[in-house]
Amino acid sequence: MQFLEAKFARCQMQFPEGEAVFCPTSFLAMYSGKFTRMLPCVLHTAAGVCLSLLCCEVWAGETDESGFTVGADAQPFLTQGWAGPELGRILSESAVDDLPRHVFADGRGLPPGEGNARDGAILYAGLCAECHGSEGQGGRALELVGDRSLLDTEYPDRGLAVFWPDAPTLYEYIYRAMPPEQPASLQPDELYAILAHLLELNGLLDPGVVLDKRSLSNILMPNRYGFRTIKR
Amino acid sequence: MGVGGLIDDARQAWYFNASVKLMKKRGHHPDGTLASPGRRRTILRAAGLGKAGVIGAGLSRFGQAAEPQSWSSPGRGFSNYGQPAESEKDAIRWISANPALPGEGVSWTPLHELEGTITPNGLHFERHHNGVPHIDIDRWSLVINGHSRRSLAFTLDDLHRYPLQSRLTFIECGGNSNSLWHPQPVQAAAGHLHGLVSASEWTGVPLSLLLEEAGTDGKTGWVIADGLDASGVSVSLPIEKCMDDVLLALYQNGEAVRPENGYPARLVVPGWEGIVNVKWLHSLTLSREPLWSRFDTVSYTDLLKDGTAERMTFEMGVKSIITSPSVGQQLDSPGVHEIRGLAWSGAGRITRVDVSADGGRRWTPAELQEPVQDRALTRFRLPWQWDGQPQVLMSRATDASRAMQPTRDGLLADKGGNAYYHYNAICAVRVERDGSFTHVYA
Repeated sequence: MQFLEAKFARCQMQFPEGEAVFCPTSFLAMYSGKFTRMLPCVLHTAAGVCLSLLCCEVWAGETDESGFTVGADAQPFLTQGWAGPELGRILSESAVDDLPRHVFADGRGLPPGEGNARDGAILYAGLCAECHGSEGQGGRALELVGDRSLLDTEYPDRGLAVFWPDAPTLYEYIYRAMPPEQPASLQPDELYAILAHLLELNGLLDPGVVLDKRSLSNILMPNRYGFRTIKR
Repeated sequence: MGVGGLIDDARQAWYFNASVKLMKKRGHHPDGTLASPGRRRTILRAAGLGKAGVIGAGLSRFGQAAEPQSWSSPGRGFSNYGQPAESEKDAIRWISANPALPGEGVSWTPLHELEGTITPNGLHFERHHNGVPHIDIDRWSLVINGHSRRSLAFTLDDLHRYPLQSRLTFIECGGNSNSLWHPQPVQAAAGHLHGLVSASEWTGVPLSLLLEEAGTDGKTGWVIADGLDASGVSVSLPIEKCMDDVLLALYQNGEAVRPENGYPARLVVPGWEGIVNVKWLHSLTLSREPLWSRFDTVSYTDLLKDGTAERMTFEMGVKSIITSPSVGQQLDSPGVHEIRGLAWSGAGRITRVDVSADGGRRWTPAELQEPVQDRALTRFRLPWQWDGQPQVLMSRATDASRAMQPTRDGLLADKGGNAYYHYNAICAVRVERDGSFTHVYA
């Protein structure tokens, strides 16, 4: 290595850039992407044998693992892809547990708790009826009771019982967004009760059945198979 | 020179300025010498020469005595944040909100009042499901969790140290233009029908860098993105798109993303419907399956005529609209008027826009403003000779995937009348003899 460095220093003194001779070997070396600059071929004529490839290696330096060049002419810049500074802070499991839940369509993520339609009707009257109508119809907000047979007609319902494909999704949406003046305020028992009331109104839950994580997950919504997924 | 001469000169100057302003408004250059492609220049000269001649005659003494009034006193001082000219009062967002819930609704970009291809930040359309949240940036962080190698949190300062990328792209609400599904055409200005599309230069961290840092495995199919607004927006995005070209945007047209557009950080998902460009981003959860949230299934999905529905349409179809002249505007005389409009496609670059003045019987290619960019708004222009008779104007865009904007009949035959979202059919306006415009279905 010392030999090459010495050789290179001598080459630099003897052959300023202007006197460079084109050398196919050094050109190929640069073209291969391993070297950052074309080296004037200083040994081609002197020795009759092209050794510029070796000089290139000393002169241009190599790339270390992080992508920086090392060597005599190294610059403090990354010239290849940078994956970023990796500043993400590791979250503890308890911090992850504190994040808002996702309730998947199959019911994963539903919290413990239970409720029945009788309690739900009272909660509904106080919290929901003003916008959604006393029987889930005729309000200014989304219809919660509808007629599925209208889906392919000129005036279809797109309401809760008609259009929503999965019952657990109702839990997540209502928890996160309702009532709009005070979202994310309902407790699990209250939510299960309101859902029991709504599902009973729609004939999707037998009267008197207690709704919980399991029974909510088991409800087959009428429009479960009504969607085609495009995903492009 | 007597007093009478001064008054005459001042009057000449006023007329000159007023005429220039008027003609600029009509799309003419006052002396017809503006460098422009041959055909267009010819038409402009033919239309503008008479007026230019009259104005030119008054110019011989212009500048000798009638200095502009603004020369006589200093102007207004500096401002910390500039505002539009006071006379430009019409270039505002039109708000259409739920009276019972003011933060639920939309505000429309006034496309008919704007030119070029970039939307000013204060005029970018809004769609909120329950208002603009206040976010304390000292406490804000972005979380990546779920099926990742590790769960990570990034502060805003952290994110600013990552490599940034900029890209010009449009964002269009999946419900844009949805009043055109209605059986009768709605008479409203172009921006009030189609203004749920805006374009900005978004700058941010490529999402792939952050996802790779958290570590994905081969089974991660989806990224569930949650926003911090009071409707708890949550959407599922395919991991392939997230690793491809999605940005975590921190800047919008050079300044920090505006609060109503997702401050401090939002997703920008090029070409895909607005809802998945989650604002006020809070968390990204890696998942094997989609969440099938309300926003994945019930909203932004197209109900077809057989009663089934399409979901995860994602990519916005090829589309164009004429922004001027259009409904709410008035032509004051026959002659040459420049037709101006916007075209865009979620599938790629716009390759051509054709314009028709006879209800779609014959089509003429419009000039596309360069540079035409992938999934950005593309401006098209075409000088149009109005003979004073009723005519039906239309524009029709084609994109790099060779998709062509459908006719309204074609779209209805394909989707039925209940889809509600993703309306991209050819739009038609009819100019009446009095120079006014109405939307028509043709």
